[in-house]
Parts: sequence; structure tokens; C-alpha cells
Amino acid sequence: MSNAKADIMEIIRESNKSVITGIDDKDVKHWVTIFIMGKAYKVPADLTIMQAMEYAGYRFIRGAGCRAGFCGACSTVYRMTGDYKLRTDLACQTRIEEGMFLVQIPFAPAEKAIYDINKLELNPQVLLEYYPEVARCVSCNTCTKACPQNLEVMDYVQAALRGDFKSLAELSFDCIQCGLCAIRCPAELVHYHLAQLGRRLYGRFGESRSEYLTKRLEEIKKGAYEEEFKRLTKMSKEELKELYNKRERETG
Amino acid sequence: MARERLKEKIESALAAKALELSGVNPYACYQCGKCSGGCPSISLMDLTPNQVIRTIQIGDVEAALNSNTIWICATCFTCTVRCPKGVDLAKLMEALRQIKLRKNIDHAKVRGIPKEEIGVLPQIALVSNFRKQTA
Repeated sequence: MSNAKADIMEIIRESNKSVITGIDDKDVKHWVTIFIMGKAYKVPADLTIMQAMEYAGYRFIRGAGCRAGFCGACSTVYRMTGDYKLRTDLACQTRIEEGMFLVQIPFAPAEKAIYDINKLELNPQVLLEYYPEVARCVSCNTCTKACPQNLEVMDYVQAALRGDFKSLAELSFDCIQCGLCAIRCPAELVHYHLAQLGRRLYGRFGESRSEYLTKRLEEIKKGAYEEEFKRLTKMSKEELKELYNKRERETG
Repeated sequence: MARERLKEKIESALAAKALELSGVNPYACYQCGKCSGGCPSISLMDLTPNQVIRTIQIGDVEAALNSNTIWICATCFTCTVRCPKGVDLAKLMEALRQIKLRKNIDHAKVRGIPKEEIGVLPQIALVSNFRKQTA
């Protein structure tokens, strides 16, 4: 069993190598040593943490997703040799450096509240009802420092406590739900779920509805664009291309 | 156009944050200079206390953030007490310091202090240094 397992690891490792680096090992000029869960690996410099781990033979079943810094699946915690600081980042967005001590956080254990948004109201009390622990925040700012998206996490938690839904929604808008804030928080908050509830409440009840959207939806319902659609679906690829190239463009 | 740009600067996120944190209205200040006149540490500052307020008024918060003034300020409240308009400058200074301190940047290397120096430094010196110089 262990032999077969080792063989699989070796096959993955070998097949990963050329795909990841794109060149043969003998052509790699710069190598660095990193530590994955305490074990040292020599890997080509210039890889991301995720690529380096795959190069070392690890296979991601969880904790990997878009590989483009948007999905928030590849939370990583690491320290550098000779530095006390515990750093957090996305494995797919961070280059390895000599002497990194790495570990992946494939999932941030967190309970997500279940609610029917239409039965709620835009009231700070709602946030406390579903996530009462938010009142445990001591404003230590650790969440802000942990955020790989450089969001002002502590500020949005404080906005939530103040009932400032607009700030909560805007400050947390770029959150990718990686969970690093929740992992680091000494008050054990789950910031990103709280923020999502806040954004949903603000989106549902806070912002006024766009009247143009309602008007357009009515037009569509009445079939105002049926003929136009029919004309388009009958066109050939070439005709469509030409139409696209000649389209009206917004300028300035 | 220049006026619009100025407005944009004043309403910048940074200025808004300084105001939100301190709750101080810098536009109440009419630049009489009494704060600077009473400041016991002004000889060490690169921006005088009234200039710090001025930078906020014109939206150049960066200048205030990069000055040594906010760090020289010992929060003695002399400026706050002397201000004829009730502008709590000491509070504003603290807000500016907080904006800097909340960034994840270490200005001092904890491991860089020689062992023999750590042995003789008073512990409180290390505590205050790390509170101020490390994230």
C-alpha cells in the first residue's frame, strides 16, 4: 500500500514538474529551499506557493480553486526564517522565498447562519441576532493585517456594530471569503459571513431599486426585443462579427 | 477644475478616516497658531501643529502622516486647551498615528536588536518600541 502510494506521489511529482516550470530541471538556474509542514524541499525559485507545493509532490484536492486570486480557496499561513511574524496570503498569488515555513489552510471552520433575507430588515440588531459574537470584537486589528485583499476588516466590523450598513457593504465588497480573518481573530468572529449578511441586507433594503431596471424588465416581458433577438439568432458567425465590430461604443 | 480636484482631495478616503477616527472638525480651525505657540515640543517638529491641521484642511493628509510631528507629539493637550475654536488637536494627532499604526508594516526589526542590548534595555522600552514600531 505504502509503495503504491509513494509511486503515485512520484508520478504526480514528475508530471507536475514540466507543467509548472515549463522547462527541464537542468535548465533551472535558481533554486530555493522551503519547508512544507516542517519538511525541507528544494524547488525552483519564481514559483508561487501553490506551484511549489505541487512541484514538491503535493496534490490539491481541497484548498485550490481558480488559481487567479479570486476564489479564496488557497489560504496559506507562513513564517520566514529569522522572523517572528506570522504571515497570511493566498497560495496562488504569493511567490516563494528562501526559508519559508508553509502550511495550507484548506478550510476555515465556520458556521454560516441560515436566514430568509426577505423576512429580515435593515437593522443592526439583525446582525447581532445571527452573529452575536461580533460584540466580542476588541478592535485589535489582527483581521485587517491578515487580509490578503488588504481590506479594512476591523473597520467594517466596527461599522457593523454601529449599524453603518453602507460602510460595512462598501468596505467588505472585495472580500473573497478566504477565512484568514476568522482564523486569526482572538475574539473568534467569522467576519466574512457577517459581512455577507450585511451586504445582502444593504442590497435588499438599503440601496434604492433602480427604476431603469424595472422599466427594462417590463419591456422585455412585453416582448419589445423579440424581433431583434430573432434577427440576431438567424445571423451567421461572420455577420455577427461584423455587427459586433461596428457596434456603438461608449467613449470618454 | 482645480477647485474640483481640491474637493476630491479633501473628501479622500484618508481625510475621511482621520475625521471618522477623531471626530474632530478641522474646518473649525482658522489658523490662529495658538496651538503651535503653546506646544512644548515644537522645536523638534518638521510640521507645526497648526500646519498639521492645515494639511488636513487642504486634503494633503499624506504630508501630515509622513511628518515627524505626529510622533513627537506627547499628547499633553496644551494645544487642545489653548484652542479658541475647541478643535481637539491632540485627538487628531492620535487618529493620524492610528492610521499609520494599523498598517501591517514593521518599522523595527524585533530580531535585529543585539542580544547584549536586550539584556540591559528596560522592558518597558521594548514594549513601547514594539507597540509603536511593529504591526
